[in-house]
Amino acid sequence: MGLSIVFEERRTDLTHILLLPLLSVGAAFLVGSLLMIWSNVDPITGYFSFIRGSLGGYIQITDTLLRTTPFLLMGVGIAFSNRSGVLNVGAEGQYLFGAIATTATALYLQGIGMDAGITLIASMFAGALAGAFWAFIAGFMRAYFEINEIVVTVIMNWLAFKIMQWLLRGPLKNPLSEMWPMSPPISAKLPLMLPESRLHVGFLVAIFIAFMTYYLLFRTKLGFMIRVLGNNPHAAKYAGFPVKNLIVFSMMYSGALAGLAGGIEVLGVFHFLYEGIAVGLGYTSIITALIGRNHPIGVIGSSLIFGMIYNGSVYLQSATGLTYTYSKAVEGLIYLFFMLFTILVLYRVKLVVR
Amino acid sequence: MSLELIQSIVGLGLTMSAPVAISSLGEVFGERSGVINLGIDGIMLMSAFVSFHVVFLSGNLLLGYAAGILTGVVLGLLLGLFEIILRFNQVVAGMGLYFLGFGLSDFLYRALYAGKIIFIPKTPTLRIPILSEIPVIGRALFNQYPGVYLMFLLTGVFWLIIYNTRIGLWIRALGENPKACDVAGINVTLYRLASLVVSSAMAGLAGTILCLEITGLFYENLTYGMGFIAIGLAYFGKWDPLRSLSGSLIFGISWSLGISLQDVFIKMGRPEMTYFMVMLPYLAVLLSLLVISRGARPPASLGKPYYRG
Repeated sequence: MGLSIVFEERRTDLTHILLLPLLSVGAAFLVGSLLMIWSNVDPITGYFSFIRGSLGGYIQITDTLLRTTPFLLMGVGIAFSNRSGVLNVGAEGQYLFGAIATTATALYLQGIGMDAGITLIASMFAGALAGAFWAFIAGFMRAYFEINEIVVTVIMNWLAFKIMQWLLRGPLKNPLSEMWPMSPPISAKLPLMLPESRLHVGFLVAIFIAFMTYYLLFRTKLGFMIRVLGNNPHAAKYAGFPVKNLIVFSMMYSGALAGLAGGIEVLGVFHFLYEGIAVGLGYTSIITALIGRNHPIGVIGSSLIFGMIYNGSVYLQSATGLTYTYSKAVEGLIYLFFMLFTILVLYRVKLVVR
Repeated sequence: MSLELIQSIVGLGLTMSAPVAISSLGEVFGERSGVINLGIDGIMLMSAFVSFHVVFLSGNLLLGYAAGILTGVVLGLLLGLFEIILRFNQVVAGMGLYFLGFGLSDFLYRALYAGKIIFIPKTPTLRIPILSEIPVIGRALFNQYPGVYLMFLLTGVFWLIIYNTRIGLWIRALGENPKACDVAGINVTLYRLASLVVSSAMAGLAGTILCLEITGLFYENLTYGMGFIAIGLAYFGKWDPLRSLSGSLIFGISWSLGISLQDVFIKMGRPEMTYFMVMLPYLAVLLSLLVISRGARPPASLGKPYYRG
């Protein structure tokens, strides 16, 4: 005898799916305003500057899209590997490794006087390849040695960061910059999309890849096998699917997108490599994939939310002095509320006396 | 290598092992009952901050330890709400707690201290009178921070509980077959919640030790992913407290080895090589995982929520 909680799955439609992220972002901002009051910031002024900073005009909106790009690429990649039942916590490291490879390739090609277009394509390709390689290690250890991929990817993130720190002081060092370790500047830049804005074609690439991933997941045999594997590993095994290789492939695909994101950030935004490119975007992208419900099209929406939060928090900082860590705290809250509302919206929760 | 160098490598190695070993013990205990706690790193960060804040305000170290452990308990209950009562996906829920701890600890620190670097009085080492006079090992082993003694003590206590008590038997049984336990009249929800809270309290203690004994200050992400290393060492140890302790010692010793090698490279005029030396403990854990935990079999119900009927 005792009380127990019973869950009945509700029939869900599009309203439920759209309601969920909106509710959780709203609730997180509500709690976030308590954090603002507590740190002596008027929440109305705070959120006003936040909205103005992320959506207030042409420059602000294009900047939001610019910041959306890495979340979109990495979120889609993480969603893809989530579908096969492995969690890629290593997007951060794959992003860094991709950025490193892109920088190294671009600097080498510009050193031998290669054409800018070829440099861009080759170095982006190198970034994706490097990301895939970094993820391959974790995928291989998971598939063939049954070592938890979360632990391995977190270690790989740390290793990638340290390798980058070493390279910036060794082989990739800019001799002109003694104080701040950075690489020499890259002359090849991603073409801009719109006049008088920083938005580059990387955003279009990311959108294209999101749709391509959707096609791959839901319209091909490979995608079908990956989804079966994630939903029911036993079924995938008995159906004779190459389970191990599917795990390795989905990790590598995820890593390739993260590496590409790193390359695009270097070629489109920074034009050189420095330690500041590692600000935890890869970790945030895990939340992006969750809010997008592991659906590539859903991730387009959720990465827009995070692009807004990141761009808005820059303006929040200049208007109120709240640092970017405010956006980190809000991120954690969005995640928790999303879990809570998933249960409340998608299930009917009943207390039953047995 | 001089004797003194070996002493300092072992001494610092043990000090560095303590937070990893204690949080890893908690993870072993939780996973033995079938619950994954992926939030360890977030809990460590949060309780490192809380203990830092409490010591800064009160100047009382014991109060700091208590506050750190309490933070772990509270976060463990929050995680238990999601993982055990609401039966949410344990991996997703644990990552959520990690993000919350990561973001909130940093936010609170910057809000309260404006991002300044502030040192608090560190916990002093405890010298054990006669034993610390033993040549070679005496200074490394018996003139240590309380966390190191706690590491050895708690490993023994957890080993005894898991293998030699009725509660330990139930915890192990819960990890393998919760249905059988339910039929035998054991409250699955209550026991799993309790073991998750114990595991979170250990993570809280580990974060406190890291802040009050090792760094003496708080900064963003001061765990450097140690919580995830601890989870890895639970796999490495095949869910046995003694074996996971040995993994933690590998981590700690290779950490202090890396630090002493840094000095060597700096003397050689190659300061950029120090970044490789910092990678040493993480590489050591990765390699040990590869060599030892091949085909380690986790508790059968690990990560699976229990539904009655």
